[in-house]
Amino acid sequence: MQKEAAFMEQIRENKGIILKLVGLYANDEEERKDLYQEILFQAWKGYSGFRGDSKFSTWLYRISLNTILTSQRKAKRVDYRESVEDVHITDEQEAAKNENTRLLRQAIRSLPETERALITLHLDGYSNPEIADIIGITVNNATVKLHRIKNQLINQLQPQLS
Amino acid sequence: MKDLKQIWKDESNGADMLDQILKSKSFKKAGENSPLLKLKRNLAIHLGYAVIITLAYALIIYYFPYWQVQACMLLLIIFNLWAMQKAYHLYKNINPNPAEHNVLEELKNHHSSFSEWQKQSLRVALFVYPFALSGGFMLGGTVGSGKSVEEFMSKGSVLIALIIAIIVLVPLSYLLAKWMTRVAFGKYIDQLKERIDELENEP
Repeated sequence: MQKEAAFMEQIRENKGIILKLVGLYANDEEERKDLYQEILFQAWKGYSGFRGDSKFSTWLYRISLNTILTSQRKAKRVDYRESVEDVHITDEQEAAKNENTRLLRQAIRSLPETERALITLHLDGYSNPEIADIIGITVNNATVKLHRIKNQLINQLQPQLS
Repeated sequence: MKDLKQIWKDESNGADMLDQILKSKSFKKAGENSPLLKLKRNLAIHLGYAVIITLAYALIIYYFPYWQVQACMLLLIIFNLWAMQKAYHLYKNINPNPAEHNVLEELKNHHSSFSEWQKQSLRVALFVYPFALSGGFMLGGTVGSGKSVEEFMSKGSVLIALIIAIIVLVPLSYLLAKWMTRVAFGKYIDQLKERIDELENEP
């Protein structure tokens, strides 16, 4: 029971990781729900093996990415848009913020699946060696790829961001 | 880029659904959808069927004292045991634990397991079907005609029919097995390969 409480606490603290990653890969509501369930299931199953050698967030990132990138998802690319209940617009500033995150999400979704993983890790503050370790590529490869992806995103988003 | 990091911090789309799942703890009861686990379950079912089929071959050997049929069944048992050993080896090596590997390792792990399963299915189609077909043909013919295998097979037309059946049905079965494995996991294997190539490709 204590283990479960600790797990739930850690997941709540880091749920942003799951939200962001699933939002970038799920093609519809059903797929989104399936991926949430699967990631949480895998995390819960592997939790007893979590020794704390790395941060919980890094461990959860690894599980989430591995689960998503090896899942059998629909091949069709539907531009998933959030349901009305998910969006809570309170004022103009908030609306602009929501619009910016939506634009960024859409721009990242237009990238190949593996590049989405790289840029998300970068945007969440991971260093290039950390990203290389999580993904399993060389630091040089990660650095070059990220440089190209960042340029692409900036070029794509600069005219649109408010 | 600092701006993008700031914008990314605000992303919280889909929070309501995730909160609901966490609150209900439904994920603990949810069946595991990992493709690797599905493959493992699939292999376990195949192994179960293989055991039953092998026992059936043994019964045929016991109850039908025609050496030609017995030879075919014996070869089938040998191939079955070999295929079962390969399948069991694959089953034991499948380790669906995404916490243990980095992304590239996990992708390769999935890809090699599914590719191996595909190869095994095709090998079985190629090596087992000709003997199963010959054995079945002779057995059916002798039981149906009430003659011995020698008598039944002594007719030139019967021998030609068997050769035609092997020439037509074995490649057809092989192609069918190939098509079925493609339908089941072909697209998925291609996707995994594409992701592996994307990551390994040094720009």
